[in-house]
Amino acid sequence: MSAVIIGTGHDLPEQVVTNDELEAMGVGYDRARAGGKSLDEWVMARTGVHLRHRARLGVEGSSDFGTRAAQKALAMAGLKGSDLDLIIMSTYTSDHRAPNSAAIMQDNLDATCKFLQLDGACPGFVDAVILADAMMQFMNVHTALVVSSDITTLYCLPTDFMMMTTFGDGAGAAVLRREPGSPYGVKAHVTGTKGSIGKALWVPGGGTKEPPSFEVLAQGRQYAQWSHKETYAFATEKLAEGIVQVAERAGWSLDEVKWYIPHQAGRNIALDAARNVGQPAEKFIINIDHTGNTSGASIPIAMDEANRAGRFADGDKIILSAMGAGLAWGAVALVWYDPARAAAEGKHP
Amino acid sequence: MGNVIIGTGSYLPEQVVTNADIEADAEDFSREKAHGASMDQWAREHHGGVTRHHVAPGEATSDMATQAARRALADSGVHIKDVDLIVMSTVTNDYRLPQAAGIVQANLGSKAKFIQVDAGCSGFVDSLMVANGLMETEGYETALVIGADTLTYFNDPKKFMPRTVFGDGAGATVLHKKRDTDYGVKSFSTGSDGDLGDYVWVPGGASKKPFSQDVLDNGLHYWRFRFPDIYTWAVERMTRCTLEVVKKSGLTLDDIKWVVPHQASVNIVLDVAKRLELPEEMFIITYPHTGNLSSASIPIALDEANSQSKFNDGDWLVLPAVGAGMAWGAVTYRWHDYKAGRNGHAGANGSSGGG
Repeated sequence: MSAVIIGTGHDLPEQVVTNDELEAMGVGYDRARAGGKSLDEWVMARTGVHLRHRARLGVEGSSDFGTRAAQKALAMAGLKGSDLDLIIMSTYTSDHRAPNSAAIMQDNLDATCKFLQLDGACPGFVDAVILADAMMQFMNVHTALVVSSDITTLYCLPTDFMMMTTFGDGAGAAVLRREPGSPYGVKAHVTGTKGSIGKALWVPGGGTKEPPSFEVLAQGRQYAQWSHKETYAFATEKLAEGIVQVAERAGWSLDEVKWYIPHQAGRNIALDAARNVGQPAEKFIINIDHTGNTSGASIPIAMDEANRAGRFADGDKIILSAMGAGLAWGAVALVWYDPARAAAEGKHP
Repeated sequence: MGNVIIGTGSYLPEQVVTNADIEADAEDFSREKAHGASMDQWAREHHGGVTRHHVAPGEATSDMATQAARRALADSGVHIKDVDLIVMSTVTNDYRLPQAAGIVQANLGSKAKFIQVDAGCSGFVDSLMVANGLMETEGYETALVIGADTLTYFNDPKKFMPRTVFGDGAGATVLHKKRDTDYGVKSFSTGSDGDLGDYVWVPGGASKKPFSQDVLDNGLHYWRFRFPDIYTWAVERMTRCTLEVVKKSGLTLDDIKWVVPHQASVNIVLDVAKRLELPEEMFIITYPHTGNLSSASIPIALDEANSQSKFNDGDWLVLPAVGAGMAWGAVTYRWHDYKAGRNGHAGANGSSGGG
């Protein structure tokens, strides 16, 4: 473990859709069944998503948002694409089956390094950080870009108000530098997978089991199917478990942890997890109100927003915790590096 | 050195499709246009394809991968509960979510961490690199590394060329961490050329152009190739990464006993052999009866050659791959005759001479 974050960035599509707009469009929400509450009232009491950004489907692909997020992260790190030794991307919404989004981004960034794309959703960024850390060490290289970019709305059934209000699109990125022995950076991680419950959150059609066909389209099999109860229980359990286990592995008490950046599955889920681990809600970075659940991109987007708002101090102990499709989960414990502050105190990464 | 292959397995679906089968309903092939050649003659000459395997209805990537994995496990004698990592490469996921790797994990009754690499023909070398990286730095001990693809999925039924080139299949290896050994994975040389991404292109059915009636009607979910550009690039890259990885390993080509290449076509592999000035017999070639299997090419070739006892203890292998992205990679590997080393303890001791 030696990867230090030296730059963050994120990008959200231009188009914004509010709950009121969704309700007006007609997304299968019945006020009568909700005791007269508007869709916005209902959603804000639960997942807490007030608005989300949506890609222009058929025009914008994951590589577009990923590229911009990466450029911002590189700029913060004071680097160019050609400085990169490795690009690791996670997405389940690749621009194409071939070439994949990582290939397009490598070209966009004028990078010449090896790229790897992981096929993953909500836990994707955590997996990508863990892999980048391992691969930099294994390949004996020093600078990696990690990007998660997901167009989740692609798979949202337009008549399913839960999906339509929960999800959003976007990309987040981080530039990592390998600094063995540094007081900063990744200190520990935990990760797990349980394929046997994979169909609790899945997209049935359009793959090799149910190839593209008129029937798949007619039956709406190209949209996600989601077992809410099962995934809610799983999400709160694993979000909390990841936090507790990774803190233990890092040798930290939870009270030492300054910030928790949860995968943004829902404000309710994050608050449940906070209660479960006995930590104050204020430590949890929650930005889902204006992003929705952006799958793998949610953690790096939240991290970048908080970073640019000056919330992180040099030396802050931070835990990222994610869970989702697979089903899978993972958490990373890291020490924040603030270049300006560190330099002022004569510290080096 | 390091991580050693202690089991191999492969799976090709039952249905075999011949060139004559394809000619029977090909819309864009005529013997006149082919200067009197039959499809069979044309395919054999242009890329070396004779037969390939197609999945049965309802059979998909995870099914093939599961079979290959089971065979590799049986070959290794390792119990599934001792596998702590599954790394799988495919561009043909069963569903958009979850990953086929997760379905394989469930099918095998495993609790191993699964991770799926979204890569084409370079995928098996990529996955080996990912598995090795995680084993070296994160403490995993026994990995299943799988390449599996249902490539016929991308074939436009109206185009005979891809139908004669591509097939379906899966291959797997069990990789085990060994300490103080002269065998195993030695070095990687890998890279990517994203600026050439349009050489292999599936325009529709993913986020840039989502699956819709329009995509279906216009065949945008089928792949398109810049075959001449691919050919030149593939020969150059495969030659180059082979030379690079051999040098990086502190070896020369004279030390190499076998080349187990990704097989985009027989012609490409033989051109590489010529460039490297290596005899064709050194190259494990399965393409004539499998077709191009993307990530599955190398592990299937490895398993077939292994089953025929081609590899001797101590043999140096190079596994070079090039593919969609465009991406490339090669790995050097010193073969361990793991079956000879077994004393009823699967892969644990590896105590054959020189181990």
